[in-house]
Amino acid sequence: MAHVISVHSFRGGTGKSNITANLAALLASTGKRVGVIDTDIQSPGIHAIFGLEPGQQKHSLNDFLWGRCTIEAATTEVTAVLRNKGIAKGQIYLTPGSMQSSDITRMLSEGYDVGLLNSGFQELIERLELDHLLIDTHPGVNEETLLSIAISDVLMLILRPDRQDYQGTAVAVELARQLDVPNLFLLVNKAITPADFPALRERIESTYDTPVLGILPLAQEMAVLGSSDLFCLTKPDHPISATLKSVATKIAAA
Amino acid sequence: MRSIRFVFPLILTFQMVVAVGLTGTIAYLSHLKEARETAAEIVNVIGSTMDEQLYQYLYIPMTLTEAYAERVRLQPQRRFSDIQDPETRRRVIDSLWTQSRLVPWANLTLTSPTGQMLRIDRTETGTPVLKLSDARKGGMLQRYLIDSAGRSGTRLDHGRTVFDPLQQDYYRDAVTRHQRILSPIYFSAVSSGAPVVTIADPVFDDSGHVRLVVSSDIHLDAINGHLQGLTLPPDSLTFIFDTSGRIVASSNFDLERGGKDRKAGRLDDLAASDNPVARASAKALKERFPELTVSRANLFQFVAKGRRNYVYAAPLFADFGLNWQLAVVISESGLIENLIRGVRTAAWVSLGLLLISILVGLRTAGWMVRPILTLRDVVKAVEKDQLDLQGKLLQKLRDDAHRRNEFGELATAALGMVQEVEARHDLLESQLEQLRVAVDASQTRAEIEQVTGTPFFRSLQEQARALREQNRQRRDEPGRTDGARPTDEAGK
Ligand SMILES: Nc1ncnc2c1ncn2[C@@H]1O[C@H](COP(=O)(O)OP(=O)(O)OP(=O)(O)O)[C@@H](O)[C@H]1O
Ligand SMILES: [Mg+2]
Repeated sequence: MAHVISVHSFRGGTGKSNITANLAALLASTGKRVGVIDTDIQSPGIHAIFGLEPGQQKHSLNDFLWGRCTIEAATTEVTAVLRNKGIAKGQIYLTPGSMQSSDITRMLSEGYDVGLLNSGFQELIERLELDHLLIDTHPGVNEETLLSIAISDVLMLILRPDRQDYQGTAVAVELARQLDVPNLFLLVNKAITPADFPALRERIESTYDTPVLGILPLAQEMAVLGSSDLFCLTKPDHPISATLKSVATKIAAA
Repeated sequence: MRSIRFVFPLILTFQMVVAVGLTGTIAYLSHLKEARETAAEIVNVIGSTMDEQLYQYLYIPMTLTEAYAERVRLQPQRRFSDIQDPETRRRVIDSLWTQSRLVPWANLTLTSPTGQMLRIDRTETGTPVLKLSDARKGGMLQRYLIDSAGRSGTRLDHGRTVFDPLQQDYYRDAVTRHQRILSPIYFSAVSSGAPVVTIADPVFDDSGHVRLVVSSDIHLDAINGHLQGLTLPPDSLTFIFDTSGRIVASSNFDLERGGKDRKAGRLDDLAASDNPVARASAKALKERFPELTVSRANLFQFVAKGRRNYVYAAPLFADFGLNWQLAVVISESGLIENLIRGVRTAAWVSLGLLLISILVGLRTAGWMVRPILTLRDVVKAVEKDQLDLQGKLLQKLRDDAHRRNEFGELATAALGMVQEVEARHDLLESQLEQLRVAVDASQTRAEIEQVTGTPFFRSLQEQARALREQNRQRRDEPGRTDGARPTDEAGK
């Protein structure tokens, strides 16, 4: 059974793209076929983590949404990132957003048929026989995000441990509930003082009445990597990698 | 607390004032003193020179009279019963023509007790003549030339006069007092009313009868003209006054003439005149010499209306019984103005330099004090946790950190310290915030309502489950590969 897994956060810069990419890699490395769609049309970014140069592929999600191509044509296999690190199993396919600013402005001003997105997801799962489809979303609440949430089997909300994220996450959790998301999880990123993590997890879980899949510390190595590579594969022994691995396992089991 | 903001500049200013100000002041005062000493010396030289110049006007008539009287005394056999006889006339011309030519302001006069008079005189055009008159012969008057062109003794003209020498004060005085006398100032009838003083020396025979009275006039006009002709610094004043306070001659005022209805000039008139220097000088002289008697050459100064004046005062021929005194008043500004101006300019320049060095000193002090004050303010702000990271204070510290000296190093170190403190502070803050998992329920509700109130959300909500179910069924359908897009109502 293929999973649709949405990764979202109320505010930007929480680490969605990095976490999505790393989870994709971790899931794929267990021999799965994994798709990743960047629905953050306004500020696409996940392609960089997979080492995809702008303009390297002919079509993007934008072209599909405008009816210019099939979803398959807008999708590129990026399994090389696994093979380069000596992982023989699994496949990863990426449907990036367009990085051309003209496309972005057109998308913002003209809009598109949000419903098309759902059929696109389904088609991709079918055509590429995906085991998991991960969706990297635009922060905040907009139509494509809500749609992604609505059709997700798993919704993972990323939050940083600060006042604004606590407030915003409460809104996101409630909206997910109203949309009957079957599996709702929280993942804390950029937390400080690991000694406080157990207390932090307990407080967050009780505040939102939602399970916390893990707490990722704010790591200099991650910041230095600057979304240019997959952290789990470059630093497999880092506590972040360990936590993400367990998160991947939990998601796969959901 | 005494802030270094004030103490530093104060010390620096004090140093400047002591260093530059004191030197400047000492230089100014000593230069001024030197200039004044020079001025006094100059005035002394001018005064004594003038003293000597007046000699010709006073000494020559006096000595000439005295000498001629003495000569007559040494010739007791010489008779002057008729001094108008050609022989006497010729002898007088012979013996006196040199003096008559060289000394235009002496008019040696011989008067016999019979009323005959013989006088070395000058015509209106200045030609020396011998003038003879005899009051008893009906006022006979004759003039003979005295010249070097061989015409000596030639009669020039003749006429009549009512002048009787025996009635003159100087004659009667000399005869009754039996000695050389000096007349008071009077207006001489024979010298067309000019103010004169006559020196008269009587000669007696063994039996005590008058043989002759030798006399000469001192012409105050000539002295006055001399004084007025002097080239002296501007605002100078020279005059001769006698012990009664009468002005005998003056560089600034014309003397009165006989017959005119004017009083003789007096020191009191000077004290009331329009000329400020004259006024002040008269006052200063009267203060210094209440008796109006100057017994020896004197040099003194007085200040009137802020202006310094030098006065040279000396008696004139006191040993001849003359009670005249010379006063030379020269204002400092007229005399050493350039010198004084130079000294003053130098003083202003050093004052300017003082101001400049104080300004530089203050700037230097500020330059040194400012980083310390900034540092103090920063540390205080950090201590009270009131440091604004974007504020001016920290900007000042950053500016100081650019300095390439110990102040810069200090500021850099302080900046690092502040950043470290702030970082730790921030960490602590976020640690606390991280654990403060708080949610504003009403705000959350409002924000949710904004979303759930939209038609899109309501339709999505209705279809969410169906959509998900539909998707699952699609995926579970085996062998479905055609890729036909299912109708999707979610986005409508
Ligand atoms: N645990 C971490 N420690 C340090 N840096 C992190 C961590 N997680 C993410 N980052 C950094 O945070 C930045 C934002 O990450 P990322 O782009 O993945 O966030 P995002 O939620 O996708 O942002 P956006 O909302 O703009 O799409 C990146 O530079 C990334 O390297
Ligand atoms: Mg992103």
